[in-house]
Amino acid sequence: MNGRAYFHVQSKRLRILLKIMVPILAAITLLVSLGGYAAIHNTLEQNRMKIRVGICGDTSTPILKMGLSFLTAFDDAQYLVTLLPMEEEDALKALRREELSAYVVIPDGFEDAVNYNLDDAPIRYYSSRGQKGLSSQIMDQIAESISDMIVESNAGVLAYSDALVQDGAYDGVIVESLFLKDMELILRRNELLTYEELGITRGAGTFVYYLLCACLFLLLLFSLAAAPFFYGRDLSFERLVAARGLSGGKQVLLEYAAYVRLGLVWWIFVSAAFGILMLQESGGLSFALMCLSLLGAMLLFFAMHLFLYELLEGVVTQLSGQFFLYLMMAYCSGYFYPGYLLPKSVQRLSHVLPTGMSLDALLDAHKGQFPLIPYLGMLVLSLAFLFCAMILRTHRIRKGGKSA
Amino acid sequence: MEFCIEGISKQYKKTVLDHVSFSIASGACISLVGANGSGKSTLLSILAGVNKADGGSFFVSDDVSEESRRDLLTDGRLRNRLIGYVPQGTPLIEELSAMDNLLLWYSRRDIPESCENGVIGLLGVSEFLDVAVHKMSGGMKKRLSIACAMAGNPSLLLLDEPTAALDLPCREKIYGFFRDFKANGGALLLVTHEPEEITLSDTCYLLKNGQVSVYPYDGDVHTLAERL
Repeated sequence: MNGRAYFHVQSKRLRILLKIMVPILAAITLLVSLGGYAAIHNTLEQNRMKIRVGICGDTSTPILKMGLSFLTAFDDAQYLVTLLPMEEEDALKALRREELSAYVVIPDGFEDAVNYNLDDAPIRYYSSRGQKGLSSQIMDQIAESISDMIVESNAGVLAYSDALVQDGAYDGVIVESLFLKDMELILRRNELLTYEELGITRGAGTFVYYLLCACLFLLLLFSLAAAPFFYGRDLSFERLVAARGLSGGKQVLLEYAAYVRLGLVWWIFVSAAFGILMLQESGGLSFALMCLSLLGAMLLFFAMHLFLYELLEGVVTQLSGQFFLYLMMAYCSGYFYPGYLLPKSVQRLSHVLPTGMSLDALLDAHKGQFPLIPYLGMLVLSLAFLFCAMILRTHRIRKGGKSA
Repeated sequence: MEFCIEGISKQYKKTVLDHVSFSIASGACISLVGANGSGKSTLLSILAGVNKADGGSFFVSDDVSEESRRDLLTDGRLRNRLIGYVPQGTPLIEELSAMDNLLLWYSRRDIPESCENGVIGLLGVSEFLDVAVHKMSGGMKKRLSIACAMAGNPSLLLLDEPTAALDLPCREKIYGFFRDFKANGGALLLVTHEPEEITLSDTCYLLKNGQVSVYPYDGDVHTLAERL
């Protein structure tokens, strides 16, 4: 028996079965996309509720002190926002560790800029795309503070004009010119705050996070679309092939190679989509690492699919068992909610699950870090799944038993 | 050339084969009968190299050949060359055509030759080369399975219930092939429950309690059933 012939025959089977697999995959993709869309919007709503914001910079000046105590003690914002004074560097690290939702940097000279109607020291606000709700909250509060100052300055203008009129000046001209000057300055000052997205959920923005999770979940469910490939096997065929020199282990490896070849087509499509959606934002290195991580995830998940089809008996058990297992793994690994919302024990478990390892690799790659530990974990798990599948196939061929 | 089976043993939870010994000469047809679960298929799978024996040997006894006394249980290359195996069921890939299934066992250039003068033509498989297996009848599938097993022109063909659930014309076609194969010096070992196939064989062995004995089948099915 020629191994190459076996590989080509399995590849041909996959090509023939594509007409069944593609519609199933398309339906799954649609469902996962709808789920992802819903998850992103749900998260945006939730993020309006729980906000921890770091405050960086000098807040000792009277106006800022008053503004912050107003925000934390008197305003309704106290129920939405917890303000935590800290250094900018610490705030960035805390944001990466998911301990903060956002942070605000108040630059030196901010109060002077406000007092002198200048735009040269804006507040900088860092968060993820999922925290735009917070942005509008903060901006509302700041706008309120500024409007208070404007009312006060208008009151000052009126008081000054009154004084001038009492000294004999012609009131209409003075008041009019002072108001015009004041309005001109107010209109020019539209850049008191800048907004920048840095990412929140393990370093990724909400959109990127859920995009990665959706891709991985889709890859998990690929096995359901590939069911005809695994289900169509016959024990007598496996035995005959084994009798002619291609052992159960070799059969598994060659089927895996054919299955992975199909997976590579999927990987190329998804990598291209990643390129379009994220290359500009992530940068070349990060994009390359993400594609590599996705390839690793594909190799791992496909090995797991093969193993589970060898392990489970009966088409109902194979499909329903895998579906519920994948749902559970995806849930534990934070595919449906950001991981930090889950209990710590589940978060720890996530890192040793194939789903969690793959997500760790992709998130590290997104941050531009080489995901060495997740890669090693993925490699070990892939080999373990393949090894177990080979053992199971060999055992079944020798003992006789279920046909797939 | 003679294929000798010596002392083959196999034990799962109970002893399935207990020092089974017999031989099959070139041009002979041996049938092996026994109750369900008696170990017939296990023996065939051991001889085919699918299963491992706990003990015993399987070799070619031939004074002139270099291959003589080489154990076929351990020498996979020699076994692949000398033995063809048709297991129970349909050892074919359902989604593919007969041609694609044959390509797994034959080289592309050997198939036209075999269709004209060889076993593919003899079994009538050349008539449905482009038909997908899942669209074939049971008889077509079985003939295709035998054609696959015959790749490389083996000297001994092991068949596990080769005509189970086939209609008469199909059986006749397959039996015709067996006769041709025997006439050309090939040896056959059939595991069967079919009286017709027992009649076709030169010797009938009965496998019971892990041991084989010659059973002089005279066409009396009732007596055979009682002996099982």
